[in-house]
Amino acid sequence: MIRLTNLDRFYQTGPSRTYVLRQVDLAIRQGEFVTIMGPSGAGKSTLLSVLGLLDHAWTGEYRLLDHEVHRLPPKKRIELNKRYVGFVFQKYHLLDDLTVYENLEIPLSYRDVKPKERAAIVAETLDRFRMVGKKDLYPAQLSGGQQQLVGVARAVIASPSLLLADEPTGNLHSAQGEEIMDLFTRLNRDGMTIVQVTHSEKNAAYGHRTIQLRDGWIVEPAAPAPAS
Amino acid sequence: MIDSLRQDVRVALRGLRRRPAFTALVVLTLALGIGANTAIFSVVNGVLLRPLPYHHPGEIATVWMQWPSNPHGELSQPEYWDLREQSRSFSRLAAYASGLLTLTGSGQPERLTAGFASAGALPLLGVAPALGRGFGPEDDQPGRPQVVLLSDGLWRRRFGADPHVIGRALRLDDAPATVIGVMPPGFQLPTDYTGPGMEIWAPLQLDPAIDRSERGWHWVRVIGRLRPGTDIAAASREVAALATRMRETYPGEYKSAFSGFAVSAAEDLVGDVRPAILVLLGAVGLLLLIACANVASLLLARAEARQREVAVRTALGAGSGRMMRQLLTESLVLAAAGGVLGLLLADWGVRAIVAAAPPTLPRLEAIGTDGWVLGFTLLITTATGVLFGLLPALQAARPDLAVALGEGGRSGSSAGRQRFRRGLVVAQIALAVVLVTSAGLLLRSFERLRGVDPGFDPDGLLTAQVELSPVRYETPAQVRSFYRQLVEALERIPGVRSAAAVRALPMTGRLEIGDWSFVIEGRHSWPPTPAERINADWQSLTPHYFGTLKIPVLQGRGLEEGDRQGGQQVVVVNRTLARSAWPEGNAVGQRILLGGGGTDSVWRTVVGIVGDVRHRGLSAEPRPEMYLPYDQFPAGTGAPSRTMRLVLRTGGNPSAAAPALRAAAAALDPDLPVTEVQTMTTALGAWAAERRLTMLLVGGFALLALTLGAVGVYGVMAHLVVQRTREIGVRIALGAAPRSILGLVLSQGAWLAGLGVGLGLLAALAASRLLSGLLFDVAPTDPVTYLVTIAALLLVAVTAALIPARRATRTDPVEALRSE
Repeated sequence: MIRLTNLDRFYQTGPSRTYVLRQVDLAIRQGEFVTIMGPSGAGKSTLLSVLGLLDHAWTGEYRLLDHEVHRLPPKKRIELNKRYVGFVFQKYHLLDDLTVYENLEIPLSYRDVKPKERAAIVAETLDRFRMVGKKDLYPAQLSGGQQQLVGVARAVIASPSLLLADEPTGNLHSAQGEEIMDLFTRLNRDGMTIVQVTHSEKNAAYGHRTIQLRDGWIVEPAAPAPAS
Repeated sequence: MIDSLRQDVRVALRGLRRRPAFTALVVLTLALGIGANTAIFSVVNGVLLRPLPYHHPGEIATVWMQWPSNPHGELSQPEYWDLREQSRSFSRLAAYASGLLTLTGSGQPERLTAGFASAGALPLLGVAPALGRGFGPEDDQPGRPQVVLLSDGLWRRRFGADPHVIGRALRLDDAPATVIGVMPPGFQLPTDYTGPGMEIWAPLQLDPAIDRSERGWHWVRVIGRLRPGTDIAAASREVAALATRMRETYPGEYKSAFSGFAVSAAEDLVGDVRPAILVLLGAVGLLLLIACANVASLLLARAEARQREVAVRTALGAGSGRMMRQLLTESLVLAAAGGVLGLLLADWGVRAIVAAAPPTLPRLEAIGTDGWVLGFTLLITTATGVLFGLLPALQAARPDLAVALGEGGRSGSSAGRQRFRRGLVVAQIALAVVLVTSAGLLLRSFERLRGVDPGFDPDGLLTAQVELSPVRYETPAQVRSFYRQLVEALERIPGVRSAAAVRALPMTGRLEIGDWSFVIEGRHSWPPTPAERINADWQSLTPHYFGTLKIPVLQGRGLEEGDRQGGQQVVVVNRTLARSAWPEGNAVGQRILLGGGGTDSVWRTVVGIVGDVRHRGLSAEPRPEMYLPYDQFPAGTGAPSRTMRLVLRTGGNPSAAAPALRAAAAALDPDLPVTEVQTMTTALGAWAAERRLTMLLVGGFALLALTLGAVGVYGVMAHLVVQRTREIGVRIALGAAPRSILGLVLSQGAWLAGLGVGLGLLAALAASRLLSGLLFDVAPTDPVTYLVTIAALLLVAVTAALIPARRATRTDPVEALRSE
């Protein structure tokens, strides 16, 4: 599904370059659940942004399904993001001024889904995530676990093929964390490709394989395990 | 599209509702800027921009004569006829004058402001009556029966808008008159848009056969329509050349400095008030800029706080266009709210300005919020919305996602953005300096003016005006007898200490006073040459006038009861006249002869010298003035003045004597209208009203500018403290005392204020030159004003920075460092 070849991401500061990702070669199959680990500043979140087509300032090659991302202008890349990618953040990043219902509706509205259809999808999602009773609450009225549940629901509501999660349980206590990870497992089982960044070995174990990043380099196997 | 727009508006409204303090601050700031601008623009539109309601108003000119004591003088009848016969620049010329007519018969007697126009005036202006007909040439013949045109206001007020009013017989000044037409609403002759305006018009009935050598009585106003292809400058040159020719033809009638000019009617009307109005327009323009800078700064801060939200929305699939639209929607919603509130404020402001405006402000009735003003408001509202909305939107729509969504999810603030916000505050302070300096200069001018001694004591005086009908009071003896009885009756009113009647009271709005020439016994040839004639303003008054106004008698005596007809003919002069005509100091006892014979051909003895009175306003130097006893003037065949001002000195509140004044007049003549009953201090206030209004408005704008500037400084400093929380925490952890933290923040605020004040002073010096025409006895570079402005601005800025600075000293270092 994903193939990165010789991908570099750097910041130009005057004459010098500071590399965040270096010669990254990475392949991820459809339906995989991959974990990215590494110390702070290793480039994990940046790699996730590149995969999610939010970061365009890289060099190298990136193929997503049958799209050669490196040949596409940023506008087209954003189109791909809308079509294939969902994001889950460590700090949930729900929009404070919007209700749960409206937070879920936002990705659909950005994808120009018609209002009636939108209402049906949101209702179905609220039901699926057992949040119908909370649809009119604002994020500040929810617990951390509930907020992240909304965050995940919002990430998957537009039925992305690829779910990217940046420390999704970092701000949750262990029971809530487990609930989210179980949810990811179910989504993956239903066919969604998941890439998560985490510091937790326990959470990493939910995935099929782990990629280790250090100072922007991939130090552990980047190739997918042979299909079993 | 519509759906998502609706959603944007809904979200914007909700977001603003959830931040009431921010929303209120932005909306109020905008409303003040827009409201003040719309209000002043309404005045500009009504007074300066709206064309006069005539056919091709640009072709209408007014013609004036000028001589040393009068730069803007009317024409004498012979001059008007000369102009008509000799001018080539005008396709038509017409004359008019103003006066008063007393309407009696049905209902209360009423004194009406009346215009007297030659038959050609209305066709020249291209205006026809709304009802009936205008004056025909036959109506304009001397001695023809009186016909009148009613103003729309009078027609509605007095005649109930009766469509059959044409042909109605009236009694005006006790003579019959017939209504022949009703003028359209708002119609006035060109120079009558200043003041209350005329309520009725009658034909002027000038006599072309008049003796052309009697040229001293200047009372006719003249308008002309420029011939196609002639510009006003050429017409004015021609009028000047004609005046020179008149001077050469009648050397005994004119002094060498006699000249004439023509000016466009619109310019003539607004020329005097234009500087003040333009200064106000400049002042509100600055205020709007300050308001915009403030709002831009607030929105920028909000945009920084929203970086995370923008990043999340982008990650969820929002394109940059969609984001821009969302942010712009919010700005426009704010601008619209500010615009609506601003319009309400403007409406209130316009009412307040019109209520406080001096009657000398032309076309007062044309001031109001109309379509143009609404359009203007819409334009500045939208422009402001886009102006302050676009910049933050552009910045916010390109966030650094990795930073915004990264580990801490910090909403950082770039150095460029910080610089920009500081720049906005510096600009705000600089603009506020310009406004505060201008207000300071105007305030000091006003104070200086109030400090000027008018030459009399206005406290405790009640004034009124009376005009006697020439039909009922036909002979001079009847007129004199009436005023003698009236003044005696007034002096009998309990609480009234003394009373007098005078032809023209000082500074009472209208300038009935005029000048007259005289010769000094033994110092002239016969006939006197123009150089031997001395000009002085003349007054005719009853004996107790000087005592009533507390005008000091400096030498000799004032006027006395014994100065009657048949006795010694006397005159009292003011100090300026005594000094200029008798520099040796021997005025008392000298004899003078008014005019060149004619109406007052008797020698009068100067019996006293009184103090100067600033008759033409506090800012105008006193002019030579002579006081003639009412009983003795004129000594010849002419009639004494029928229109007189009454003045009463009371022991207590002068207004309390008003009913008794009316009753005393009614006891003598129940049909006599007594008008303009007001205290002298009110009359003086009206005189200074234009200056006071300009000063109050600019002062108000300056106060708003200071407030907005303070809000700006506070906002930037508060934001800066938040941005530097970690640094401040580290400093405190390293042992910094609260005082040094306070100094750290305050010095930054003071630096911004200092820079703004410095730039503002340069701008203020440049702007003050534009103000110089409105200043009195204060230099545009008045150091006191500038020093006070600097002190005020620095004080306000440092005070505004004090709150965030004190907050900074209370930073908890542990908390500050953990939050990173």
